[in-house]
Amino acid sequence: MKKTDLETRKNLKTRTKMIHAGRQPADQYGFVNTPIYRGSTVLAPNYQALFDHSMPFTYGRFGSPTTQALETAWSELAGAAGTVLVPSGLAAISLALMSVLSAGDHLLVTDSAYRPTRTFCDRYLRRMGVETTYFDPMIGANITALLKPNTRAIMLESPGSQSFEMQDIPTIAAAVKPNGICVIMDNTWATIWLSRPGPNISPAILIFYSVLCRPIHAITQNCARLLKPSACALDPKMSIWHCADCAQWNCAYVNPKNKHLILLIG
Amino acid sequence: MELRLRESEKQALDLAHWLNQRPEVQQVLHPALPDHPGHAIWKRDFLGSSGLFSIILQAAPEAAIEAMLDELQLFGLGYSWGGFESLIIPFDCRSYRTATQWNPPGPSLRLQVGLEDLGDLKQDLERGFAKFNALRA
Repeated sequence: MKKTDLETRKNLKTRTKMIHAGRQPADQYGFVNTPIYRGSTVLAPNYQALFDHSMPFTYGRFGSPTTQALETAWSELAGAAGTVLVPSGLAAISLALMSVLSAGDHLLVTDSAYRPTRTFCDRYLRRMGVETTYFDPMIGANITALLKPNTRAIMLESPGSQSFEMQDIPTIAAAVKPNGICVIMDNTWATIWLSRPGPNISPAILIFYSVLCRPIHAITQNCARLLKPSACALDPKMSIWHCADCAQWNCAYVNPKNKHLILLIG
Repeated sequence: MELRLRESEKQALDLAHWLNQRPEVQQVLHPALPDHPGHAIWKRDFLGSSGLFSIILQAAPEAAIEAMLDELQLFGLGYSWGGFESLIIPFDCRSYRTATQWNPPGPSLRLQVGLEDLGDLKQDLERGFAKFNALRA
């Protein structure tokens, strides 16, 4: 079988991508599924390799071929510049916010947000010196009235959690764009298959609770935690990307075995 | 994944339309339904819908909701969603909204529609509605 390349994959339909994304059987003796790589230590071939960044993997916590396979697959499917996998939906939301915000920043959050998002803002972010303003999900272009000189990010969610208000995402994103505010969207309900706010929203982080992972729990009783969402960045130039990556290394590592199962099941 | 999502979409839409006709239901909050206030935005920005939506019931005492939900055998009372099984939970946004007011005209329920047979699911809800109606007055 020929090795599929990214250029070819770009033009494939979603259903086809679902089957082939993240898989490189040619790199693994033809076996269809990505094997599970376990462990923390990765051996360098020589002294120089310790310093010249030539090793694709250097330590288990920073990722393995298994974790990379799922992140690559997810990025391909989402049309994203990159993906960071985390163990829960709230972890994705928290990680996205923590990657962007610093003490003294102002954050805008839709009043229809997932309640634990609010709790994270009202308790943790507040304690860290970030001020949150909630806004009417139907605010549209009037969002500009709430902007402050220190507004750093806006958190959207559509449809609203439980209440199902539909936000005008393109209008809100266009309104805040001149201010260089990072748009973060909880895209849980729609997933990458049903809504893709697109590259015009930039810089943007999309958070997906991937519905695909639920059945894995039923199939494997030994999965302690379900791998649910991922945070995807649409803009490859995002400096916050590095922060998200670092935060994942520090606190949100996901077991390669879980990722392997998701690749198997799709 | 895509197959399951499409199936969930189909199941949820069918059930949303069915619930829209039920006398016990005041509103169905599903963006893919034409009478949803956000339907135009959904149509413009989305390619489909998932298996999750909410309903507002006729005004009723809490005991009627409790009796309805306790009667259900297929819809589980549980959080989360997106799985193969149907779930239902009561919710109330009133206690934590700050920028807007959430004032539904009746009790609110969120439904996650799974992959079970739709006839069975409707029968399950009908049994629940019977209990709801008995205590509604």
